[in-house]
Amino acid sequence: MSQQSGTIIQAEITWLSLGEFTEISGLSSGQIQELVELGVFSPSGTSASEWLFNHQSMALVRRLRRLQQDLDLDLDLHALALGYRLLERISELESQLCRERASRLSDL
Amino acid sequence: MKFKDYYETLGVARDASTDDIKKAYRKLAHKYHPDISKDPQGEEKFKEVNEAYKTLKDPELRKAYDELGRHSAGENFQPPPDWASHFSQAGMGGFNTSDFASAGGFEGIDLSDLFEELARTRGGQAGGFGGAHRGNRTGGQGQPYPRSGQDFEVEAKISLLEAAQGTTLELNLEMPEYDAAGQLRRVPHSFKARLPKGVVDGQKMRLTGKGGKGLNGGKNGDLYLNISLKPDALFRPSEHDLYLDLPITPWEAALGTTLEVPTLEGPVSLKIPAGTPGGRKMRLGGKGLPKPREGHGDLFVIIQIATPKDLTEREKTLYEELAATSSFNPRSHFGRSAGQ
Repeated sequence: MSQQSGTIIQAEITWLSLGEFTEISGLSSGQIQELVELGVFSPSGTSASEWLFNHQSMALVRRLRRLQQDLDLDLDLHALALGYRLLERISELESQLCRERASRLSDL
Repeated sequence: MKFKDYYETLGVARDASTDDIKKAYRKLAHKYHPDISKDPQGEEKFKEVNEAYKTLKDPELRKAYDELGRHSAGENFQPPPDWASHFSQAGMGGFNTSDFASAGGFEGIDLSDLFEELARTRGGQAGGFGGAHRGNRTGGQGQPYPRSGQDFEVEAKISLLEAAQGTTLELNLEMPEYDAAGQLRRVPHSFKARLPKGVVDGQKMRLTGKGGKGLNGGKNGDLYLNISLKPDALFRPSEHDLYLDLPITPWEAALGTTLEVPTLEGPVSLKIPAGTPGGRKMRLGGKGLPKPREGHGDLFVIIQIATPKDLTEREKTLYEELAATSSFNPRSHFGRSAGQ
């Protein structure tokens, strides 16, 4: 067993700084800034040093990165922005579907 | 170690060209990739296909794989004695190839661990999106260089109550690691992760540095928890809101009543006004799931009018009397001739 056994790690509701977001996305901070300017990512905070990215952005950007790696895709920044927006749209539709399902009266 | 037939997995001949392998992989990846495929087994199938491709697309790794010989899939086998020499150019500190092939050196590890290691020890990891490679390139010949540990993802299924109150998850993971003798092994790790209240279905959480160990001063990888909620017998969650069906009788709907309805924090009284139609949603503000910082979602109670199936004679008589007396017409809006 590992020495970590027994210690408790606190999982946080994730907010990521620009530095952390760079790390998990594999994007450079310049690319991220460009994508923020394009309105693809909308972190909270006014200047880059204050930016915080939410867990949805993290999940989507990781998904996109996985697709890019798994399928050997050669994505430039515009293709990346498009891919992100489409994934975001799908995820919105999925949560809308989930909401519709939850709010629908089930059969007796 | 169990043998896996990578050629069979990709459905290509053993002498297939790299191009054919790539084509076969792309076709299967589009079919099974969990972000594209709707196949529930897609993820499993994709992992197999991806593992096969990662080895066969690379001429050096493919050569090493071919040298393992032909076995049938699932057969227990040992690599040939000199096989570990593939690792000799790796230039990794503390990695002893002669120990590696010694008795038991290949037990308890997966073929994929081996090739992943072979690939990683060679050229550093190409991370990130196209053109965004970060660091990690091998420096001098045979120099140990820092390598980041692998990221891991774990599915965590929790109950609604656990999501509402926060919970501690026991995580038991196996990660490929080097032991003191420099042998690659699957090492069990167990630790506890505390989830705060307010997580929702589909949320991804990151435990920094809890993934695979970095080598030669490289950073540890991260561990990602993919949270999903187990279906609850009563409540259906949507983000922080909850939905509950509330079956009532036709006379409760017509006459109105006050009922006890369950919430996560125990039953509350709910007044059903006279003339409540089926399907009406009633909002109980703040009775949903707690939000991470402050506040709660709402609980929506959906009225469901339940009709008795087996009527007693007396009940039947009363319904018949009602039918004869009532002038209520729920279909008045159909008009005389619909469609004109």
